[in-house]
Amino acid sequence: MDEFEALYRAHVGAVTAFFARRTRNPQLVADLTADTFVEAMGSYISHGPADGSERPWLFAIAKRVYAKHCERASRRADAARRDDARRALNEDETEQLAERIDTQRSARELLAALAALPAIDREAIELVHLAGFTPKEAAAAVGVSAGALRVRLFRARAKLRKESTNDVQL
Amino acid sequence: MSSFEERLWSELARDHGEPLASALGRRRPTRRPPTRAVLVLGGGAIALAAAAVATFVLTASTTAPAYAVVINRDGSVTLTLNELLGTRAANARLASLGIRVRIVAREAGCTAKAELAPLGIGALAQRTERRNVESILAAEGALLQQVARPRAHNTAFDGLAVRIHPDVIPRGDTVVITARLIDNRTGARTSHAIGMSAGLYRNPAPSCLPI
Repeated sequence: MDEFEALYRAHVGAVTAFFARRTRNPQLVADLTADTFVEAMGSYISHGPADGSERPWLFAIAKRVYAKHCERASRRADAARRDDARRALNEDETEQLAERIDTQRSARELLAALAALPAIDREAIELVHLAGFTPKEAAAAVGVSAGALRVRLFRARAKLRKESTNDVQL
Repeated sequence: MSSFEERLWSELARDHGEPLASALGRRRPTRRPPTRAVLVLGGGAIALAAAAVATFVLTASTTAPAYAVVINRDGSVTLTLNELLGTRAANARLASLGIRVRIVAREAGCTAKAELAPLGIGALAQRTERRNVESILAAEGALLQQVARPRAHNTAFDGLAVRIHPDVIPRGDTVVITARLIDNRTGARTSHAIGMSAGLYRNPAPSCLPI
């Protein structure tokens, strides 16, 4: 368990931030973060990360968890049942996660500004410029070659600079 | 970590930790079936003369770890390779000891940046264990390449070991060891071999190397 705990401690902040860029609901951030690590624990032995690829592996799981959540959220009855089953956050935890969510506000705005881009381009920008992935890690997470990812990054940056009315530092 | 993250870890460990812990405990390298095995130079095809390699050959055991990292009394490190599995544990062990040695896989699609260090590796090479093993120091930045052969025909695959003195690894560099399985077909018979090589690379050490 030590090796998984080390992985958890190294990356839980980044996974929490990943969801904080997608929702302003602290309870939902907590639930999706928990779901991600539950799934990671379940598949760690059979489909665990290769050396050096822990972060792309975890983010791939986080993406799947978020996609499932979106699918469920479109069926409100299911979502309500799921929310009922969750342990509520205490006041301190809610405050901590609200702070995390607040720190991701500009990131959410940036992602919103990229809405017109293809999903992979948006993801490339998020992983490299917001989550701190190396281009190689981001390429692995997105499922394209490192060269293809750089092309997408270049294209996305150019489009963002062209369309943004605010200063954009990428 | 925040209290949320600490509490989440406690709950994960309590509710989901046991299956993972027992699976990690059961995780053992699988061994290849008994076969005639010949170790050859990494990527090359240099067959060995029948040199005695008793001190380097490991007994075949179903419980042997895939890799073993042993700290010797003189401060050197003996890295023993039994199979092409378990690099994560061995690398974690090496990192925890502050030893700049890394085992990586050779992958066809590897695009990791890998910068070989200049060839000032003589000291390290000379202090590498050679006893009962044919060692060949190659140019082009390769640190050492060793070859060995199992004790007898028709035994399970035996191990290969390399001895390294961490204190002579230049600062800013990492010894990168690679190994890959090679199947040699002779008529209807297939023998399995492992090619192993090591090189000195500038940090950050590559996470893989191309085939």
